[in-house]
Amino acid sequence: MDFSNHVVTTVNLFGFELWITESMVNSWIIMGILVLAAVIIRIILQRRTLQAVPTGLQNVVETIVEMLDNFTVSTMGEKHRNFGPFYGGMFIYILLCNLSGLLPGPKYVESAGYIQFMRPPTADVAVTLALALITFFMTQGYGIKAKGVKNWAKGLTEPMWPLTPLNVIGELANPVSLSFRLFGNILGGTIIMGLYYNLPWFALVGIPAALHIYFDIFAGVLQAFIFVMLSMTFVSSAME
Amino acid sequence: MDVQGIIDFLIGWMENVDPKALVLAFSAIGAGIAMIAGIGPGIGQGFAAGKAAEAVSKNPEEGARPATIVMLLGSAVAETSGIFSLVIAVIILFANPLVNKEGVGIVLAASALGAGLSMVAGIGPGIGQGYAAGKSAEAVGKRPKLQSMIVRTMLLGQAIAQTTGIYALIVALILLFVNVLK
Amino acid sequence: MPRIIGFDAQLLAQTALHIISVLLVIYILYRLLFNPIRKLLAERTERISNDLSEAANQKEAALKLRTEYEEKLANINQEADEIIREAHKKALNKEKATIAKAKEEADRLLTRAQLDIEREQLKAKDDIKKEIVGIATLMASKFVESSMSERVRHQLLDESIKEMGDTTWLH
Repeated sequence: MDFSNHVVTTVNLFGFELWITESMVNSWIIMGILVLAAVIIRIILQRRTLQAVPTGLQNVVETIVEMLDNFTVSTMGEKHRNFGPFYGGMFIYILLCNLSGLLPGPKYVESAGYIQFMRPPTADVAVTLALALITFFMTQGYGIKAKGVKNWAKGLTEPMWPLTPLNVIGELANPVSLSFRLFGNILGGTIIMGLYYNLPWFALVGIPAALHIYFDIFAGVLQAFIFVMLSMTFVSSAME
Repeated sequence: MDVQGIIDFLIGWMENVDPKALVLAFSAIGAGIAMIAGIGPGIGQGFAAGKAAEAVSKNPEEGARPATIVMLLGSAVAETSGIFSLVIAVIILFANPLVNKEGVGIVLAASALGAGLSMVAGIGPGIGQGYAAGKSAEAVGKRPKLQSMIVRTMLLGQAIAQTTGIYALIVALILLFVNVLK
Repeated sequence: MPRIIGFDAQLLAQTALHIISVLLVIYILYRLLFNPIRKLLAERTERISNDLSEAANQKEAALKLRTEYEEKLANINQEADEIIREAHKKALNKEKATIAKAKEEADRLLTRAQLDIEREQLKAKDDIKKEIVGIATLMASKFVESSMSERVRHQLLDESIKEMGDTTWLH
């Protein structure tokens, strides 16, 4: 069974051989889809000159943006409203990455079947680690900006100074657990679906839909939601 | 009967076995043992579901939906210990890093077994986070307006409870990938 | 070499590349999609709240105006009532005066008419008396010429006149 992350090409960068993997190409495909959708929506809306009272497509887009904004405000509080677009964008990106197992994608390996579904980019620990590190740097950065370097450093020695290593490891554990949670969930889903499709034909009628709904859709949405909500919680509690 | 004789009898045969096969054999055992950590999230999520059902029955009109949402959130976080074990098991089974490594056969085999054993620590966070999720769902059922505050506290507490699971994961990964035991 | 997971420099490099691409896509979405729509929503909220506060202000002003007018209206009604009452009184007085004057006039006319009637009566009486005297004298002179003296004639004349005076005017 082949669940690995195939290498498409390699790029030589300052003498370092960087592998361009399947998940990297898939993530670029998803980025392209998102940017294309944004541009199309922008063009359609501009042609109709954003009206005062919205209808149709504008209504849908506004509803989505407002929902993401409210989600941010309800987790982080009203005064951090400006984080809305950032976490909204991250949420949409992670959601689309998790759900990309349902989309047909380019064939990286010749030995695969007729249709090849995309391997979710978030099934690669590099992607999830990247997202978690963004959250980590944001947490520490905004914590330092809000409290000052001294207070932030002192916060690590609370409540008693011998506990400092544990606090540091606790802070480092946050991005690790975030990334591995997302990685493990999506990888597990991919492996289970891949293993299931190797069964004889009578098990492939109808039941895969239910499995896809649980592992791909439900787990994907839930994990994206949890990732973004935990990021928001960490950042907002670092700023108090 | 001397002890040395017994140990030789029990473990001595390992020296005559092909190291690769030894590593694979113990990897299989390690992968299986790692999944014992499924006990924890099972208990924890069951507790969360029960408490959420109770909360829904106590406050059907207003508290049903928030309680369900909080239960789902907490259960998803409680699932992570099982997911970590699954990840280690999958790595050991499909992408075994110890098979092609150079070293003493039995040490590599024991590393694989140790990685699997260390993930059994996922039982604790699984139960604890599930308990937190259940109590939070109950609290949200009682006072749905405080949902965001309660969820924030629950997530923070669960993230702290996860740390021993993270320690176990890190130790397992070190055993698998880093050449410590030379 | 394909693999599921590995911890080496390759991971760091790919992670760095992914960080760049994720930040890039979030920035693009931010500029293209989120900001214009958020601006639109903020403008709309502001406009609605402006409209609402202005509506509240106008309502207040309208209420104040209305109370003012209601007061004035009550006053006007009072004034109108007073004017009407006074006019009524004046009209009544005038009526009474007119009626009194008319009565006076009527009385005067009446008394004068009565005086006239009396005078006419007397005059008519006198005329008839004179007529009767003429006729009686003629009759008497013709009768008495033959047989009576003058004195008896005058005595007879006075008696007949007196008789005539009492009986003639009885009808």
